[in-house]
Amino acid sequence: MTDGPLIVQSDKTLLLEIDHAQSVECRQAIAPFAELERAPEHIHTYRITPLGLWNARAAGHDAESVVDTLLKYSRYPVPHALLIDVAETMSRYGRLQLHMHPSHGLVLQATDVNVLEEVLRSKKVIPLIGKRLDEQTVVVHPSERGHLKQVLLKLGWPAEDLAGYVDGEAHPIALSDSAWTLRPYQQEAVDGFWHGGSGVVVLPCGAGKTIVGAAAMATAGATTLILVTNTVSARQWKAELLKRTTLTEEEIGEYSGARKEIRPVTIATYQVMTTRRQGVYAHLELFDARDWGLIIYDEVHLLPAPVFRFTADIQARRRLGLTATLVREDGMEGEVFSLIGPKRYDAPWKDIEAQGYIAPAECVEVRVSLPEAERRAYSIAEAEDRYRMAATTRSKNRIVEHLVNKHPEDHVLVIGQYLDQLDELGEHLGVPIITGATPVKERERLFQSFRDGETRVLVVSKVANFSVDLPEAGVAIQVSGTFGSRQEEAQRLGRVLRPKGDKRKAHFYTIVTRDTVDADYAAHRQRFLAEQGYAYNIIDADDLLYGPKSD
Amino acid sequence: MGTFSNVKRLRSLADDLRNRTDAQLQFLFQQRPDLMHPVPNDVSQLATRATTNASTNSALDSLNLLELTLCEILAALPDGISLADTLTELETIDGFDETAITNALSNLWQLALVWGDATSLHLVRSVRENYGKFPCGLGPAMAAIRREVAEFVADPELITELLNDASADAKEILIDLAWEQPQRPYKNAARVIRPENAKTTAEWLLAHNLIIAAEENTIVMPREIAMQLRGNKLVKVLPSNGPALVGVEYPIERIDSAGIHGVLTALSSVEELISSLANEPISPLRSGGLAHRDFVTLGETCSLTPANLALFLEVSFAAGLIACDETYGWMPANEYDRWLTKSDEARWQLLANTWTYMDRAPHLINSESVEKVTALSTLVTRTHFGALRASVLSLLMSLPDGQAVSTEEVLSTLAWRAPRRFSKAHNESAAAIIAEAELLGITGANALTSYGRLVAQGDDASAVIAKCLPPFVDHIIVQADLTALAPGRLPVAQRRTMALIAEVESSGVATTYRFTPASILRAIDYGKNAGEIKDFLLGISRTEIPQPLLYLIDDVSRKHGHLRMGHATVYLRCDDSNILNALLADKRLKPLKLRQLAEGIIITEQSDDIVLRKLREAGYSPTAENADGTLAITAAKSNRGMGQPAVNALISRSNPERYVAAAIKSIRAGERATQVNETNEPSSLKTSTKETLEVLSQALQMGCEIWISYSDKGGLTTARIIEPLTISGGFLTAFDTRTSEVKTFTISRISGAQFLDEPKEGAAS
Repeated sequence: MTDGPLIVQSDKTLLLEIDHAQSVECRQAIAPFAELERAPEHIHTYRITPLGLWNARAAGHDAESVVDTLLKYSRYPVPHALLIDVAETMSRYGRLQLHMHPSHGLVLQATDVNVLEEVLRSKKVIPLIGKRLDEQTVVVHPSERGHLKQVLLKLGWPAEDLAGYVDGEAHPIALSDSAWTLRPYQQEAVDGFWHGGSGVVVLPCGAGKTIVGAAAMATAGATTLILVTNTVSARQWKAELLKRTTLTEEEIGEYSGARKEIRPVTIATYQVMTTRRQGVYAHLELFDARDWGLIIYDEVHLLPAPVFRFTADIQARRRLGLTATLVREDGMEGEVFSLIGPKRYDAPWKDIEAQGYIAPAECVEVRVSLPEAERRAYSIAEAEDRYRMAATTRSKNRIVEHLVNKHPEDHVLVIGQYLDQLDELGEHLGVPIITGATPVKERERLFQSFRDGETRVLVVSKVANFSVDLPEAGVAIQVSGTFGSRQEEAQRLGRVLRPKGDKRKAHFYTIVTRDTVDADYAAHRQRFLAEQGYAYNIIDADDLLYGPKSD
Repeated sequence: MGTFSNVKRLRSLADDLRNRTDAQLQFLFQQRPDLMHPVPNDVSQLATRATTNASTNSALDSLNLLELTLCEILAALPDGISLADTLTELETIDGFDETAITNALSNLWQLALVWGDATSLHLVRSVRENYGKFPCGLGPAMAAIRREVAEFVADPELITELLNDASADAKEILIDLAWEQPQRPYKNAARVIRPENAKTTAEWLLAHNLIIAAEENTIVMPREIAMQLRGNKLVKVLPSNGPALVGVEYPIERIDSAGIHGVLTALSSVEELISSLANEPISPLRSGGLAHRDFVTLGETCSLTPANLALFLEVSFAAGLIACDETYGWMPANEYDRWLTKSDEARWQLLANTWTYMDRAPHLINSESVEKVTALSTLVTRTHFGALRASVLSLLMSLPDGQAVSTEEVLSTLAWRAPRRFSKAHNESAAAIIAEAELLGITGANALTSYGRLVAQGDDASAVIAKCLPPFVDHIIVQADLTALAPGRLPVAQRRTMALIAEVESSGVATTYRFTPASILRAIDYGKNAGEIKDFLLGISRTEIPQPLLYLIDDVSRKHGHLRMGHATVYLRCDDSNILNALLADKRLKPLKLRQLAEGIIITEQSDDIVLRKLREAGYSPTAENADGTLAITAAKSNRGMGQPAVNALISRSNPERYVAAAIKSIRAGERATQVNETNEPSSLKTSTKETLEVLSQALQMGCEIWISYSDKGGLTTARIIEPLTISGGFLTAFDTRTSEVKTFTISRISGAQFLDEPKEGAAS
């Protein structure tokens, strides 16, 4: 028995003790093949998955090095079955290869004929392939490249994709070398992506994902299509690109509900891409409008289904997915990975915080009680109305007011789900509110005034969940949300994580009604952040208002 | 061939057995335990039993490929052939190895499948018959009865010449007849065909007498011709030596630590599995097993793969840890509670021991086979599985410490060692056994662990395994995401508490736990209160307890107990509270233990007929409100079924030596009695009453055996060998060696007595 930082469990989880002297070194060693599952304060949990092992193979690691790493850092003897499984799994990679054949185009070639025989017998493979050229080679329909890879992955014989990417129409882009440089983790993320070809980069909110996108564009040096969640976000991308790269106003187009510009760098919204006219997704043609060399998916965890399907058909182009939280309550994470590409970079939030690139945050759960009258109404309410009743209780308003006053120096965002509640809060606090109904112009004006410091408190609906860059916000107060959505919670925390000039702490308050479904959903919402090491402090509303009870 | 006895010309198997030493008989009994159940009376009976088909078949099952081949060869050779001639017959065959063959023949003799000595070997008839009319694929010898065949024997060149003329077709048929199937049907075989008239290949062969018409419609190839075609080889190859086991050698420490994962997983899986059954017993199918759906659900609850679940379920069952209760279904048995209190090493020892002898085949459960085998049903029983496991384990035990061999190697070696037991059909079973051994930690990295070896030998492995288990850790690490990690093995008490207050998320050497409202509620249900849980965590956690966890515990405990439910069989309801008060105060109703639940309602646990009787006796006349008026709320959680550990199956390797020795002694005694009967007519053994008494008393003093002739009530005189124990009042109490019973003899009916090793005259003088 050594004194290593890692405990290897027979169920293929790896437990890394981060207070251990070797933990940093160990994390770097296992990151290529193991996926980070949870990163709370003391022990990080990684998992060895076939996908992770195959990605490691693709990145040039062999089974021996994986086994060596496990043996080197493990505290206890490593389960033998696991070592065998690692070797076995990794040896499955590359028995099938996708090549570009000079005369037949895309082909699937096998180094092991038996494997080819096996997969060709699968019903799911048959429609994706064409003629058998010889014993080892079959033709693949070029449009089914992504689909085939996905099917083969499910069959347990991942294909090594050697067919390469189309370079796309070249378009020189460089990072403007003014008073800033790429942060080390941003550089690692770009490198990880570029060497892998396509894939997803996971970075905490506020850690500069846009810059990773810009750097990827500079590396590609080609025309780029950027897909973002909404128009405000599209404008922010444009502003950021103008600031960080040599691109000029004329080179960047916006493809949204309002404008339909197609330029060397085009920023489109998911919404316009999925707009149907007479049952047809008219705007999906944008994918073919130019010979794109790179496609960037911002907030890839929100990728809507039609875009999913279309993405499967553009496998020859490089794809970069950006997200802070690859958790989807619909369990579609796997689809994202197989269509955009595997996770190429992931870092625990607390690590980036430790490096000072995101602000340290204090998460507080304030518990309020339902007043007697509301409590009675709640207990006889229909199940579907209960969350709304509990989440929008009037008792929350006083708490919000108290908290806003508690941080007189900070910019405060009050975030909620239900418009009635938001209207009421806006009125109660006497501050402007932004909802989906607020015109884009008005939204931009309010955000700008918030940034400039003219407005100190904003009440916002879920339109502000993502991609709204409000560096000044230091306090977020959440009054209600989309039920138990973990990623929404994380995104909302992300609103206040931009590092502050004076290094002060950010505050994230979530107001929860105790003994109701609101509390149950809150527990679920907090799970992702808790797993990232954000420990919630629970305060009783009365303690907050009147000071802790003295015994 | 030292073991062949060479005393005198042997006439029969019985004769041969009679001349064997005790050690040789002991070996025989150990190898063929069926021979001594029950103990035969004498050697002739032993010989008869040793030649029954059932007995020889099971003896053949234990032979290796070479021994089996030799049996068939002996069946093809004349009865009573000498050892030297046998070796001459074989020496031209590929793979001939004189030592190996001599040893194999010697072993066949030791197993009493062959009797005789080096000058004449006899294959036991039932074995010979086993190979049918054409052993080694050879037809009958015909030289003596057919002149044409004798000509071929006289001049070997004849065949060579004929073969030169033969067509390719003919040659092919000849080879087939010579090696595979010497006799086959052919219409009108007996008609005379001249070589010049032959039209078909068969006619050509018949005309040249290479095949002979055996009957009207049958042709046969004479043995002499087949042997010439075969180049005088009885078989193509002699499999003298089994395949070599190569494998990889690891330091035994590495094997042991690899096995530890199996050990720990087995322990935690069995515990989780059974505690899940404790919470929710599973009703059995009518056949007694678990429904497929229940099996799948159980696997998901305990996060076990079907194969692991099947193994651990069956081992738990065979070890008596779970049992099927008639009312509730499958649940922990009383043995489980005892098992839980034991140390890790003792708990594992029980599981491992059970596995080695249990006659159940878990891998059949829900396999792809045609017949659906459900877990815990009788369909899982395979009586030969104990023996199969013993063979696999004994093979692994024969390897040096730390030598790991692949499943394929083990299978091919087993196929040579006991081809009848490990035909291809058994490969799957043997592979399953190997996989199970790995799962249980009996092997680690495909080699026997040092503790697995002890278990395979039937020894106590707990001391060794205790040394290999990782040391205990005395703390856990609690985190804000409501998980906790025990970074090693927790002592039993702490582990049980943790398993109660949190869900196990991942187990191995370390264990990760998750606290959920349900898990805290469970702990409170089991009688812990919030304070105790917090104190326990504070005591064991190395890190500060995160606030959300403390809140979780408080929240759950605060909600606990608001709503209460309970047990009552009968209620009494009355609007007049005076009557109820009177009931409560009535001394005669004390035994009913009446309890007032609320205004106007009294409950009791007594059954309705008793309550009714008592109330009537006391002068009240209640009216039943409801025909069945009972509330049936019964708690399942604390119930235990009555289970017994499965009975140890009879397997050859566990014969106690004492039993074997006793069997030999008994046979010898029977044998002596028979001999005496043969050589001395009972009537000829006559001693005077005085002499008889003298012999008896001497024997009594010396404690030796004597033989007597005794007339029973019917006047029949028999000779018996007895060991006198007491003489009193004209009666002799003695141990009758033949019946192995203590019997009382009337002295006056003893017509003669004599010491065993002295002639009659000596005793008389």
